[in-house]
Amino acid sequence: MKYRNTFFLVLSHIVCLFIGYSWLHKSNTSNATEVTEQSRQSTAVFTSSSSDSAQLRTIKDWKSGEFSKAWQAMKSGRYSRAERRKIQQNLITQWACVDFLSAAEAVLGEEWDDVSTEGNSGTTLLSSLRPAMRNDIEGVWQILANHDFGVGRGKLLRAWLDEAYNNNPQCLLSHFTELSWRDREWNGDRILSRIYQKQTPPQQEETWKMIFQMPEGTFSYNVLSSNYLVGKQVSRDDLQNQLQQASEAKNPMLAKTLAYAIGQRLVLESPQGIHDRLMDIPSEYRKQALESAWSDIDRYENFGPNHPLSEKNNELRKERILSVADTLIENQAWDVLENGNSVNKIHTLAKINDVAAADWATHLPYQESTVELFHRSVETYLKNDQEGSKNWIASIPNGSWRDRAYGEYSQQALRSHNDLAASQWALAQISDPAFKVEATSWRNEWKKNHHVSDGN
Amino acid sequence: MNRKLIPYLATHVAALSVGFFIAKNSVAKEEKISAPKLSQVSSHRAASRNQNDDGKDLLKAFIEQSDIADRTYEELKKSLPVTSDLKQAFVDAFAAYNDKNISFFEKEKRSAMADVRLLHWLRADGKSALDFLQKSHVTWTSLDWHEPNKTRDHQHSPICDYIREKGVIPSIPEFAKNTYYYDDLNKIALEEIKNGGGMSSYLAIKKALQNQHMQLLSSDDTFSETFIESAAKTFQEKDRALLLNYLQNNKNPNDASLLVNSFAQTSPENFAWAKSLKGQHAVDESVYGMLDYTQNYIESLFSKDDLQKRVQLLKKPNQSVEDTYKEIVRNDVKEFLNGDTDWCYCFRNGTASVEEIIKAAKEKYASSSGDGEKYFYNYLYKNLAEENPEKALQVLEGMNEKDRREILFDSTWNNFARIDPNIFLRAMQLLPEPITPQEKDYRTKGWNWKARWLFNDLGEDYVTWVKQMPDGIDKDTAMYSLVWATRERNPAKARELEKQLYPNKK
Repeated sequence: MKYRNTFFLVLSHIVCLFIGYSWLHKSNTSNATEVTEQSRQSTAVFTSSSSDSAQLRTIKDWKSGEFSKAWQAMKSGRYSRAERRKIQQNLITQWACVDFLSAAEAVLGEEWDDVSTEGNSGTTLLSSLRPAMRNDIEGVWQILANHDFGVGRGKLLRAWLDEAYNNNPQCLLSHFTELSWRDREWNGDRILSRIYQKQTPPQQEETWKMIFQMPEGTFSYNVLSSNYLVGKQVSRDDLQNQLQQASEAKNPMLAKTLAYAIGQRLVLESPQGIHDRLMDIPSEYRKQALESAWSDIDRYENFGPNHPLSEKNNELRKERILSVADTLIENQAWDVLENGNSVNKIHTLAKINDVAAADWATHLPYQESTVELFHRSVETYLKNDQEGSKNWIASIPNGSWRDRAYGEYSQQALRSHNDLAASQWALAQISDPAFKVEATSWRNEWKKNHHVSDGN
Repeated sequence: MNRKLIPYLATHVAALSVGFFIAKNSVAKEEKISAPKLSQVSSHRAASRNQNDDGKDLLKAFIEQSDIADRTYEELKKSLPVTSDLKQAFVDAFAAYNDKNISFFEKEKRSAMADVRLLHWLRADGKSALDFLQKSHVTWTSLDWHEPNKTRDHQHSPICDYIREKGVIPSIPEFAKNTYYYDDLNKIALEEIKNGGGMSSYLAIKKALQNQHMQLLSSDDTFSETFIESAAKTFQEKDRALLLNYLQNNKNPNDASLLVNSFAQTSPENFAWAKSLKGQHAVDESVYGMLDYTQNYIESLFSKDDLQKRVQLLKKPNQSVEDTYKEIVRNDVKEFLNGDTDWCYCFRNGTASVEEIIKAAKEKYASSSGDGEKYFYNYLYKNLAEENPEKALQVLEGMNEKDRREILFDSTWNNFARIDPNIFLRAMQLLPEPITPQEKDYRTKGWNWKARWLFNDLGEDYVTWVKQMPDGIDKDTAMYSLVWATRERNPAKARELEKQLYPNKK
C-alpha cells in the first residue's frame, strides 16, 4: 500500500512537470512573433514541397559535412557558369558560417579567376567567404595563422585584410607586426587613418602608445608622421620641443616621427639653413628628417612657376637635391638612398644636369646598397654623351665605380644606340674579371632578346 | 483545508514550475542563434574522400531552400494581412531584418517580410513611402553594399511590383526625383515595351519622362543608351512604320541612330529594311552614321555558319586576316565555354572529356572546323589547360608538331593569368624541351610576366611557394622574376630575398 501511494505520488509529479512543459512550450510557439511564425510556415511549405528531400533537415541545421557533400555533388552535375557560380556562392556563404576552414579550402580548390576579369558581373567565390570573416575577424585570423592553405592563403589574407580594415581595424592593428613587410607597407597608412576616424581622442592616445612600442619598421615614419599630426596645428618650434621631450622620455619612435615631420619643407631652406636645422635635431634622429626632406624634394615641381622649387627654377632645384643627397651620404643613410624613390630624385637631377648626377654618384661608397643607385645615376649621362663620357669614366679613380661605369656604358650603347662595337669596347676596359663576366652576361641577355649575333 | 494537502500541493506546483522552466529554456535555446564557431580543423578534405550518395539529395534540398527569400516574398504577397500602421509595420520588419544575430535563412525570410510590408505601404501611399526611402537612402545602400552574396535584390522587388501594378507612365512623376530607383523604372518600362507595347509604348514613356525633365531615355547617358538598345531589340515588324516616322522627325539624331541600329540587329529582314531606308526616305544622313559603321558586324551576326564571310566582314583596316580569324574564333570559344554548359567546370571535375567538348562545339560552331579549326584547338587548349593541363594535351593530339609546339610555348605567357600557380607549374612541366631561341625565351617569359601579379595577389605566400618549388628551370626562373618584382617595390627587401634564394651567391 505504501509503495502504491509513493508510485502515484511520483506519477502525479511527473504529470505536473509534463503539463508545465507542454503548456509553456505551446504557449511560446503560438505567441512567437509574426515574422518567426511566417518564417516557420514558409519553411514548412518549402520542405513539404519536395517529397524527395522531405526527410532532410533544413539547411539552417546543417553541419559542415552536409555542405561538403552538397559541394562535392555539384561536381557531377551540369550547369551554366552563372548557375553554378550562384549555387556555389550560396553554399560557401552559409558553409563558411558553420565551418570557415572547410569552406575556404573548397574555394581554393576551385578556379581562382576573378569574375570581373572575365567581363561578367557578379562576385568571386572568394568574396562569399567574407560574411563569415566579418562575423569573426579574430577567429579567421587564427585560422589563417595556424592552418596550411598552401599558396592560396595569400588570397584569403588579402580578403581578410579588407574585412578587418572595414569592420575591426583594432584587430588588424593588433596583428600588424605579424604581417609581412609588403602587407604592412600596403595597409599601414589606411589602417592608421581608419583608427583615427573610428576612435575618440583618448582612445587614439592609447593606440599611439601601443604603436610606439611596436618594433621599428612596422610602420614607415612617413606614415607615422602624417597620421600622428592629423588635426594637430603645430609649428616647427612646437615640433622641436616635442621631439626634445620624446627624446628625454626615451620614446625614440615618437622622436623619429617628429623628426620626420620637421624634415618636411626643409628643402625650402638654403643649404646652410638645411644644415642648421639638422644640427638642432639630436644626431640619432637626424636620418628621419633627412629621409623626409629627400622624399619631399620633387613635391614642388607642379606648384606653379612662382614657387622657388618649381620646374622653372632648375638651378635652385639642382642645388637643393645635391645638398640633401650629399647630407644623406654624410649621415650614412644608405637605406634611404637604396629606397626605390631615390632613383626618381636622381633622375630628376639628371634631367636638369646629367653630369652633376653622374659626378655625385662617384662619391658614394662602394657597397651592395649603393650599386643600383650608382648605375641609375650615371646612365643618363652615358646615354646622352657617348663620346664625351669616355673621358669622364677614365677620370674616375681606378676601382669598382670605374668598372661599373664601363659596364653601364656598355648597356647604354646597346639599349639606346644599338652599338655593339661600343659595348664591346667598354667591356674590354673593365679590370675586375668577375665583374667583366657579369657585365658580359647582361650584354648576352640583350643580344638574345634582340636576336642579334656579333660573334662575341 | 486539510493541512496534509498543503505539502502535496506545494510539491505539485513546484513540479509544474520546473516543467515551465525546462520548457522556457528549451525554447530559448531553439531561438537563440549561436555565433558561428570557427573550427580549426577542416572536415572538407575527409568528406571529399568519403562521399556518400546522399550528396545529390542534399544539394537538391539546398537549391530548393536557397531561393527562400523570393519564395517567401511571393507567398507573403498573397497571405500577409495589411496592417493599419503601414509605415510602422515596415520599419519594424526592417529592424527585424537588420538584427545581426540571425542566421542567413532567417535574414532572407525577414528581408522578404520587410519587402512585402514596403509593398503594402507603397500601394497605399507611394509618395510617403518613396520619400521615406529617399531619406533613408544611405542606410539602405550601405546595407546592400556589404551583402555581396545576398540571393535577391532587396527592396527592388516591391518597387518593381509597385511600378508594374501602377503602370510605368503613372509612376514616372513619383520617381522623377528618386534616382536610386531608375534601374527599377527602366526594368519595368522595358518589360512593358517587350510585352507588346513596342515602339508606341517606348514613345509614350519617353514623352512622359520628358514632361518630368528626366534624362532617363536619352542617349546622353550611358545607361540609357543600353536601355534604348534593349528596347529597340524587342521591336517587331509592326513597329517599322512608327520607327520610320520617328527617324524622319527626330530631334535627337543620337537616339534615332541607336534605335535603328539596334532594330537592325533583330533579324536579317529588319536589317535589310533598315539599310533600304537610306536614300529613299527623308531621313537625316546622320541617323545612319552608326548603321554604316556597324553594318558589317550586324551582317556577321546573321552569318554564323560562314566563317570566311565573317572574316571578310569583321576584318579591321589594320588587322591581318590571320588575326581576324583568331579574334572571331577566340570569341566563339569563349561564348561556347560560358554557354548553357560550364564546360570548363565539367572538364576540371572529369565529367566531360575532351572528345565530348570538341563534339559539342563542332555541332554548334562552324568556326571550330575548316579554316577555323587550328585556332579553335589553340583557344580550346588554352582554356582547358587552366583546369587540367595534363588532360588538355589531348586537344592538341593529331595536330602537326610545329603547330602543337607553337601553341604550347605561346600559352606559357599568353595564358594562365590569375590562376593557382600550382596549375601553371604543372603546365610548364609538361612542355617539351625548348629548341628554338623563341621557345627558350617563352619558357622563361611566362614566369617573368606573371611574377608581378602573383606577388601582388599572394604576397609572402607566393615567396614561400617559390622557395618550395622543385629544383629546375622553373624554380630558377620563378626566383629570378620574384626578385625583380620585389625590387620594383623595395630594393632593400629584394636584396634580402636574393640572399635567401641564392645563399651561395657572392
